[in-house]
Amino acid sequence: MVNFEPKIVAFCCDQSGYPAADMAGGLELNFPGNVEFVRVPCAGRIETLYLLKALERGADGVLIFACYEENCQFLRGNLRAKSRLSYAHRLLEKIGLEKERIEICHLATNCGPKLAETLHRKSEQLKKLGPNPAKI
Amino acid sequence: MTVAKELAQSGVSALLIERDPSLGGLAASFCCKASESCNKCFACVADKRVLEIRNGPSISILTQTELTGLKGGPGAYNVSLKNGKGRMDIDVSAIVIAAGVDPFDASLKAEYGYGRYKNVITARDLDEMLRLRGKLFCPSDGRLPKTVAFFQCVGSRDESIGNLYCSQVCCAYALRLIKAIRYQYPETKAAFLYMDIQPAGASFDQFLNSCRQDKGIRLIRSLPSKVYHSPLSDGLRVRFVDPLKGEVAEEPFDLIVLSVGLVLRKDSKSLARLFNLNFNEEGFFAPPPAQTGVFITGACSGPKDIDRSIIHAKSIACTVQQYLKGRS
Amino acid sequence: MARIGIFIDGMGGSIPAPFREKIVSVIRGLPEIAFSVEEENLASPGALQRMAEHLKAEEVDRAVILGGSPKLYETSFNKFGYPVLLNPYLLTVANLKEQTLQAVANEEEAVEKARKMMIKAIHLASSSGPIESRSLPLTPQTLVIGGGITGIAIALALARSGIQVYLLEKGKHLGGKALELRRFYNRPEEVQKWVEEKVSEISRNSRITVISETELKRLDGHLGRFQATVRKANGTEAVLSPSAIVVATGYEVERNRKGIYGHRSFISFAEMETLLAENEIPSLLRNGKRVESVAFLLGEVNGDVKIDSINAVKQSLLLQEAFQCQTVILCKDLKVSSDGMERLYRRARERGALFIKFEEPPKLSIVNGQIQVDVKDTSAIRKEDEWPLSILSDLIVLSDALIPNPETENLCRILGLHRGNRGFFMEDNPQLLRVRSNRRGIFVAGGCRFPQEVSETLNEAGATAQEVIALLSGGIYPYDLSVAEVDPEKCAVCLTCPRLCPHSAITVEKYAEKNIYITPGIGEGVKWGAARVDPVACYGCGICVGECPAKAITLRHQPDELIYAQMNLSD
Repeated sequence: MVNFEPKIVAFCCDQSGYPAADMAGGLELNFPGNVEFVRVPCAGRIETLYLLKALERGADGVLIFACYEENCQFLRGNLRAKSRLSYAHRLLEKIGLEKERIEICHLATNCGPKLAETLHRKSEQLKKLGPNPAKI
Repeated sequence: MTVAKELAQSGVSALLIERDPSLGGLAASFCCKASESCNKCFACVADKRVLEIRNGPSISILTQTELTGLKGGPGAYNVSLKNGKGRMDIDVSAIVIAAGVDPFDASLKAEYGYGRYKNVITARDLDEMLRLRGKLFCPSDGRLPKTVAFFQCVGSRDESIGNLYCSQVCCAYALRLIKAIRYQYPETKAAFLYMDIQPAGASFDQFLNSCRQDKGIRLIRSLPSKVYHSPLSDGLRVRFVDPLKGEVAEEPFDLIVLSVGLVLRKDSKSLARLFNLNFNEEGFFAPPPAQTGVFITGACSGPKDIDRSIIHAKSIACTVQQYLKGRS
Repeated sequence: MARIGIFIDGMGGSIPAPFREKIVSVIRGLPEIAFSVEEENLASPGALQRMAEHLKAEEVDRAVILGGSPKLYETSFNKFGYPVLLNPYLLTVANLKEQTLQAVANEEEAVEKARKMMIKAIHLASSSGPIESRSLPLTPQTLVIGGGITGIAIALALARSGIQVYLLEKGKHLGGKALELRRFYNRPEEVQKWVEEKVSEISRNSRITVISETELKRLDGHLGRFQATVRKANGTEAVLSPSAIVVATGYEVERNRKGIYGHRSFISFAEMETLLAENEIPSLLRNGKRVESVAFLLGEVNGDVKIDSINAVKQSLLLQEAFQCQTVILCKDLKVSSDGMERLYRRARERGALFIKFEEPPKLSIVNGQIQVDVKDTSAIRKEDEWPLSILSDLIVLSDALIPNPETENLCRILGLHRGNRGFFMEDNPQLLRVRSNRRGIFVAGGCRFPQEVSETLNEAGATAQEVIALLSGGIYPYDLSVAEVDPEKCAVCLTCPRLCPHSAITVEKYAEKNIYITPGIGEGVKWGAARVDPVACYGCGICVGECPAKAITLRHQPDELIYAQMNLSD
C-alpha cells in the first residue's frame, strides 16, 4: 500500500479548470503523477454516467473543476454539475463506495495554486482510502 | 485592449502598443476573490480578454514599445515608436489612449509605515500574494496572520496628499479580498476601517449583507491615524477612533493592508504633452475634442473597475468607428 | 486507418530536444503515423505555413501537436489563419509543457507521463471527426425596445453606422424617466433639451422608425431569423424581422406612502426636481409657503444604488446656493463614487450642508405638524451628544425604491431571457459582459438591467451599440456545427432540455412526419414533434447533453467516445 499512486480523473471546465491547470503548470507547481485531465466545454457537460464509468474503469477518484457559482459562462452549468454530483454520491452510498471519491472544486482561470493544492489533497486522501475496490 | 478587439470585430484594423512585456495591465495581476461563490471581481474576465486579444485576426500587437513622437493632424497622424533599440514610424487615422492607472504609492502616507514595516502591505501586494503563492502570510516571518486590518481610502479622498477624488474601486476590492480570506482561513479575523462604503451594483447589496453578517469581519467607520511598530515583538498597533465606544482606541494587528487608490501613471505627463491633452479637476485625462481623432478610455480618464473599463472601452470603440466613418 | 501527422513544438526551448527525442522514439514506426516534424516555435506564422505545406504534401487526414496548451494553438490559428485542408476538429494537442514538463519534477516520470499523453492524443485524433462550418446572412436591422435615453442613444449610434432601427416605445413620447430630471448629473446640459435634440435628430433620420404606443407580444426564431410580433394600442399587429434585439425598458419607482410617510412634508426626488425648476431664485415656495430647511433621508431602500446619494448632493447644492436653504443629508453610506462627485460632496459640506451617517435607522415622529427625525450620528465622538439628534425641517426628500418595470417578467418570458438580482433583467455574471444577454443576438442595456447614473447609462448605450455593430457589420454570422444535436428518433419530448438550455436555443419542432406523435390524454390530434437545437443560438456547452434522460442529444465536437478516450482508462 506504500507505493500506491491513486489514479485521478480530473474533469476540467474549459472556461476555468483548464486554464487554471495551464497556469499551475506555468508556475511549475507539481501535480501528483497520475492525473488524467479531461477537457470539457462546461462542467454541465459531465454526465453522471461519466463519473461512475470513470470509477468503474479504474480511476480511484474523480475531480470536477468547475467555475464558481454565478460565474459560469453558460450561466447554470456549474450548478447542473453539482446536482449531478449529488446524484452520483447517492448512488455511491447505495453500493457502499466512499462518496469522497468524487468531488467538485470551484475555481477561476487564475486559481492555478488552488488547483494544484486540491489535486495533492485529493491524492493524499485517496491514499488513505486505498485503491478503488469497484475497478473492473 | 478591448477597444482594439471591438474595432477588429467591426472590420477596422488596429495596432496595440504596450509598454510592458505582457498585455493585460494592472487587471491581469489580480487574483480571484471568490469565497463559496463568485464575488464578481471580474479578474477572470481580464485574463480571458488577454487570450481573446491574442486571438484577434486584424490586431497587430507591439509590446515593450513606447511612443516617442507624433506628427501630422487629425485623421492622418504619424506616430514614432521605440521598441528596444529599433524605431519605426506608422501612419494611423485615429489614436485611442488607454494608458491606465497605477496604484497610489502608499509610502507617501508616512503615518502608516508602508515600506518601513514589513507587515504593512498594500491591497495589491496581497492580491499578488494570493494569485501567485496561493496563500496568505505575514511577510516578516511567513506565518498566518490571525488579525488583519484593512485601511480604506489610502491615497484617495485625502486633502493632505492632494487626491481629492474617490478611487471608486477600492471598497469593493478590499471587501472581496476580505471575503476571500475569510473563506480560505476562517480563523483569521478581519477589520475594515472606512469612511463610506461606496460601491453600487446589481448584487452588491447582497454581498455587503453577507459581509455584515460575518462575525469575523468588523466594519468600523473610522480612519486610523497612525500605525505603531514594536521592534521587540514585531507587532503592529493601530490608533483609531472607535465609533462604538466614542473614544480613541489602540489595537494590535498581525497584518495591515492598505487599500490604495488609483492615480494616473507617472509617464502620463509625457503622453499628455505629446497629445496636448488637458487634465480634469481630478488630475485624470480630460477627453479631447472629438474632431482631433484622439480618444481617451479606461481608468486614465477617471478611476474605473474592470467591468466599467470594458463598458467604457466598448463605447469609445463605437465613437471611434463613427469618427472614421465620418471621415471616409 | 487514419494517417496522422505529428508536429512537435519546442516552444522556444521550453521543451528541450533530448526530452522530445525520448518521447518521439516510442511512436516512430507505428503504422498510422505518417511523419513527425519538429519546430522551435509552432505558434508563429512561418511555422504554421510550413505546417500547412507538410499536411498537404503528405496527404494526412489527422494531426497531433505535441507542445503547450491547446489554447495557445487555437489562438495562433485564429490569428494567422488555420493551416488549410485539415478540419480544425481533426487536430489534437497534447499539452506536454504545462502538464508534464512543468508539472512533474522527476524527469523520468515526466517522460513516462508525456509518452502516455502522446498516445492518448494519437488515439483521440484517430477517433475524432470533422465538423463543417456555415454562415448565416444577417440583414442590418435592429429592434430597440424602450424609448428612454438608453434606447435613444443606441438607436442614433446604430443609425449613424448604417443600421436600420425600429424603436419601440410603449408610451406616446420618447424620453422615458429622464424627462423627470432637469439637469444631467455632472453635466452642464439640460436633460429636456438633450432629449428634444435627440428626438428631432431621430425624426430626421430615415434609418430610424419610431413605433410608439406599441408593445412586443411574441418572439420566434433565433439570431438572424427573429420574428417579432408587435401590437399597437389600437390592437393592430405587425411582424418585424430584425437581426438583433436591444432591450432598454428602464426601471420603475415605487413610492412608500404608508403610515407616517404619507405626511405632506415628504416628497420624492422627482417632485423636488420639479419644485426646483418651477420656483424662481432666490425663494423656494411650496404650496405658497417658504421652504427654508430640507432634509434628505436615504438608505431606507436602494442600498445598492448610487443615484440617490448623487441626487441628494446635487439638489442640496442647488438648494444651498440658489435658495439659501439649510440642508441635512441623512444616510447610511454616502455613495458618491462617480467622476467629479467627491468634489461636489466637498463643496456641499463647505457650504454648510450637514451629512449625518447612521447605522440604526432614524426614528420619525410628528411634532407640531412637522416631521421630527431622531438620528444617531456615528461620526460624533462624544457619546452623550450622539442621541438624540433631532432634526426638524420643512421638507424631507425621501428616496423611492427603484424596482424593475412591471412588464419585465412578461418580457423575459417572451424573449427567453433570465431575470436576476431583485427581478431586473439578467443575473450579475461577470462572464457575460454587462450588455450581453443569455441569448445570442439579444442585448440588455440601461436601467432595465440595473438603475444607474445617466453618464454611466450613456456609456452602456455606446457599448451596446458597439456590440450590435460588431455583430451585424460583417453581413454574415459565421459559425460551425460544434453544437448539440438532437436525434429526433430518440427524443421523447420530455421538455427537459428546453427548460435547461441557458441560451434558450432549444425549441420543440416538427421535423418530419415520422416524428409526430399523438399523445393520449392531451387530446385527439394533438401532435408533438421533437426537440431541436438551433445551431446558431447554441453555444455548445453540453448542459442539455448531460441531462437528456433518453441520451438523445450529442455534442458534435465532443461525443461520449472522446470523453472516454480523454479519461485514458481501460475499456
